[in-house]
Amino acid sequence: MKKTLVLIMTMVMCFTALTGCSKTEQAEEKFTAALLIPYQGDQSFYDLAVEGMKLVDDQVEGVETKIIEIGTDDSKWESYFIDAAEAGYDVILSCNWQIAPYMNKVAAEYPDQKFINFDIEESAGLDNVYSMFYSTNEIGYLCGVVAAAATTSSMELADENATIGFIGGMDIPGINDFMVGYVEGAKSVNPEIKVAISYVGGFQDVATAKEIAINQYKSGVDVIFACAGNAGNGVIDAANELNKYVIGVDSDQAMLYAETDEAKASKIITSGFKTIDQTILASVKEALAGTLAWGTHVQYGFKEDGIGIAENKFYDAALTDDVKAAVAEAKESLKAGNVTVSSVFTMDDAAVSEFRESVQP
Amino acid sequence: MSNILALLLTPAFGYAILRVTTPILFAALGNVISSKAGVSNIAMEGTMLTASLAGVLASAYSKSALVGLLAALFVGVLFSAFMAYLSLFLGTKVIMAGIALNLFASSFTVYILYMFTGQKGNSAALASKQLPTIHIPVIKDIPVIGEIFSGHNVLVYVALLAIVVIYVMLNKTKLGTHIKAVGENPHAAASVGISVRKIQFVALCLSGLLAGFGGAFMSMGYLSMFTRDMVAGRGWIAIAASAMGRSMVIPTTITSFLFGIFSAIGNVLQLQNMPSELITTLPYVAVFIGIVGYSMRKSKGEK
Repeated sequence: MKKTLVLIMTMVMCFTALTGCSKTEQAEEKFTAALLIPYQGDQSFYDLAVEGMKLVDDQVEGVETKIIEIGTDDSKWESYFIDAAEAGYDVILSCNWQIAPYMNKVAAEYPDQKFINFDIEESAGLDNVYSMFYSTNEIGYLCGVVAAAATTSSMELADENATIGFIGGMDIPGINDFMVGYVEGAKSVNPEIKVAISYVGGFQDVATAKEIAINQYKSGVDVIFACAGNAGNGVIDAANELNKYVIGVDSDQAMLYAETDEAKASKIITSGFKTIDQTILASVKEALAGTLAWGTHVQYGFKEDGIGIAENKFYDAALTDDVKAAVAEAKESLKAGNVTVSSVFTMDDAAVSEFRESVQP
Repeated sequence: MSNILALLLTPAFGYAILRVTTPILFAALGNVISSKAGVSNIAMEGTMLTASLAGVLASAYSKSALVGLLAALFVGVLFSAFMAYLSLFLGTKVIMAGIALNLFASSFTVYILYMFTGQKGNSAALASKQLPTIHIPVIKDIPVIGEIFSGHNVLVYVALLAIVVIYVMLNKTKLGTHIKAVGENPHAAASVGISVRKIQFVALCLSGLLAGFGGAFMSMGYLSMFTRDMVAGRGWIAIAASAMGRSMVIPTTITSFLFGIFSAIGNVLQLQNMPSELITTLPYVAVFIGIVGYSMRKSKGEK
C-alpha cells in the first residue's frame, strides 16, 4: 500500500515538473543562443567566451543565452552537440580545433541548425557554420616586440644579452603560430636576437612548465612569452622566484594576481589576447538580425580589433619609454598594414623546425 | 650541444634533480609502506591532488603555511583511510577503490576550488602561503655541494629524512615487522595474533600521510598555487618507481631519483631544437629500459 502511494506521488510530481517545463518553453519565443565549452573558470580563454555571452545578455534585447559545460572528455562531446541541436537553440556557439570535428559532424547532420565556431583556423565548409579566427601570429608579433625591446633596455630586471624565451604548451600549429609571430616581432626590433623555444608537452603540468622556465631564465633569458594555457602559471611562478619578466596570454594575467600577489603581477609585463567577447557579441547580434553570412570564415587581426596586448598599470610601471615607443610603432605599422606576419598555417613541419633553429641561442 | 653539457654540469642541475624528485619520492615511499602490507595504494595521484588543494585553501584562510601543511597531511590520511575503509571493511577490490578515488579527486578538487574561489582553473585568486626554504648552515658555504643541497624547500629535506625514517620503521620497529608479516603471509600473521586489517589500515593511512606531504610540496613548495590536475601523473610514476624498486626502501629511492634525473635532463633538453614529444618520453623510456634490464638480470640469476 505504502509503495503504491509513493509511486503515485512520484508520478504526480514528475508530471507536474514536466508540464511546468513545457509551459515555460511555450511562453518564451526568444532568440536562444547556447555556448558549449569544456568548462568555465579557467581565467583565460573560456572565461572570455562566457564574458561574451554576458555581453550578449546585457546589450542585446530579446536573446536568451545558455552556457553548457561539456567537460574535457571528448568522447562525450558529440552527444552534447546532438542534445543541443535537438533542444532547438537558434544558434550554438563553440570553439577550437579539438571540439570542431565533433561540432562539424553534428552540423552536417542538422543542416537547419546554425552553428558559430568562434576560434578555428579554417572554415568547416558547411553552409550552416559561421567561423572566426584571430591572427594569433599578430599577438605573437606584438609580444615579440615587447620582449625584444625589453631585453636590452634599461628596465629594472633586464640583462644586457639579447636573448628572449618562448614556452609553448605543445608543438602544434595553434601554438606555433604565436611562436612564429613572436620571433618575427622580436627580429623587427633586433635582427640579431636569439629566442629559446621550449614546449611543456601539455597544458596542465604547471610544475614541468616552471622547471623549463627556470632552465631558460638560468641560460640567460630575461623575458619569456608563456603560451601554455594553465601550465603558463608555472612560468609566471618561475619569473617571480628568479626576478625576471614574463608575458601572459589569452587574458590579462597580471590582473589575476594584482590583488593577491602584487610582486608576481609586476613581473607580467603584458599579456596578448583575442577579443573573443567582442566577436561573440557582434556575431550573435548579426545572427539575431539575420545578417550573418552563414558558411563564411572571418579572420580578425589587429587591424579589425580582433587581437591586442594588455596595457595595464604593471605595463606602465615596468616598461621604459623607449620600449613603449617601439610597441607603439609596431602597432601603427600593423594597423596601417605595412607588415605582414608569417603564419605557421602556411608552413610545413620542416620549415617550422628550420625557423626555430635560425634563432636558437 | 656544448651549452647542454654546460647546463647539465652545473650545481643548478643537481639542485633541480632534488626538486623534481621530491614529489615522486614522497608518493613512492608511501606506496612502499602500503605494498609491504600487501595492499598497493594506487590512489596516490588523487590523494596528492586533494592534499595539495587542502594545503592551499587552509593556508590561504588561516594565513599560516604550517596550518596548510597540517591540513594537507590530514586530508591525505583521511583520503587513504576512506579507501582503506572501502577495501578492508566493505570488501571493495583495492584497485577499483583506487581508480574510483583517482577519478573522483580530479573533478572533486575542481568543484571545491570553484566553491571557494569561483574559478575552475587555478587558485590565483587566493593568497595562499608557501612553506619556507631552508639554508643549511655550514653546508651552504661549501662550493658545489652547498649549491646543490642548500636552499631547498623544507619538504625536500623532509623527503630525504623520510627515506631514513621509513627504512628504520620497516626494519627496526614492531610496526614494521607486523607490516611485513601481514604483507608476506596474512594467514601466518593472523595466526600469531596480529590483526591483519588493522595493520593494513595503518599502512594505508601512512601512505596517505606521505602522499599528503607530496601534495603539500606541489602546491606550497614547488609552486605557489593549486591548478587543476597539477599532480600530472607524478602519483603514477611513483607507483612505477615503487614497483620497480620491488617495494624496498633503498631501491625505490634509487628508481625515484632515476625518474627525477631523467625528467630534469628532459627539461634541460627542451632548450634545444629537438622534437619535444621525444623529450617528454625520456623519463619513461629510461625506466622502461631499467625494468627490462633488471628483469633480465633477475631471471638469469634465478636460473
